[in-house]
Amino acid sequence: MAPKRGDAVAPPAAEEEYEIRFGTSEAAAQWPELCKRFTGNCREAWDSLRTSPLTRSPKQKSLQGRLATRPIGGMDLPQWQFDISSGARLVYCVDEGTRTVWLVDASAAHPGATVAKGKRSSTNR
Amino acid sequence: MPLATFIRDYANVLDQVEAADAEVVLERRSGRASFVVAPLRRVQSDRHAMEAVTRVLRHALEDKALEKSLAAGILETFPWVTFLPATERTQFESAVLETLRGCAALGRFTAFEDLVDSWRVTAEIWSDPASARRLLAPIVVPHGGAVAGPVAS
Repeated sequence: MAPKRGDAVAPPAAEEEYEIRFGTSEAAAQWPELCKRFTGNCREAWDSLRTSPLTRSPKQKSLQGRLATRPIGGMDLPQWQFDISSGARLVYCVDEGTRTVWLVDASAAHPGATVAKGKRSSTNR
Repeated sequence: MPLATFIRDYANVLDQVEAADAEVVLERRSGRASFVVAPLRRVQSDRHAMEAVTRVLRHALEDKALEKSLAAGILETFPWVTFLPATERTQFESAVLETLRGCAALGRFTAFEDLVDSWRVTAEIWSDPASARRLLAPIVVPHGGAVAGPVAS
């Protein structure tokens, strides 16, 4: 999707780096808001996704089970999460072939925050 | 405790740590790894206890008859497992037991913590079924716009 007038422009990725692109319109709408609220943490996440999206760290984890992969453009790609804060997260998929990171979710409200308050249903089937 | 504070007053901090037989975490900025300072005696006794527990665990994990009660123990230790769909709960149990066996054989449990962490964030997503459904849905044509880095205002 072409950037609109006034949109921030992403610098081209260096040879070894990954390009970060929006996988969904929701992520595209949520990302600027998240950056406003958590500028430093989003910068850290953005740097990490460009250089080492598949490296495990205390903030960066692969999802498991059925959520471990997600089909994008017909290819099953590994799905990971980056914790922005205790209440915010990024979810992204990584295409190593094209060195592209697809940002698919940028939520300010982390489901875990609600879990801690016991507001969710207790089981899933 | 910030590493800079420790460097400024290390003699006093070390005396306090020794007197309390405690440990102090030295934090560094920009997400860099933190370190722990503790009396050697404390670390050695922890290590010996860990080695003993690991040996016992290794034997217990080889006993198929104990597998069921170990699985029940896992569910009790990680109550968030309840948010996982039933099939994934079984998958988690098997992965935990398999990884524990490997870790107990090596005497290092970092891989176990990594595994549990990954499943915990997965369970957090499943705690909101709408969120899980969204993240399972195939993306036929991705949005494609480049993600610009945050700019300090």
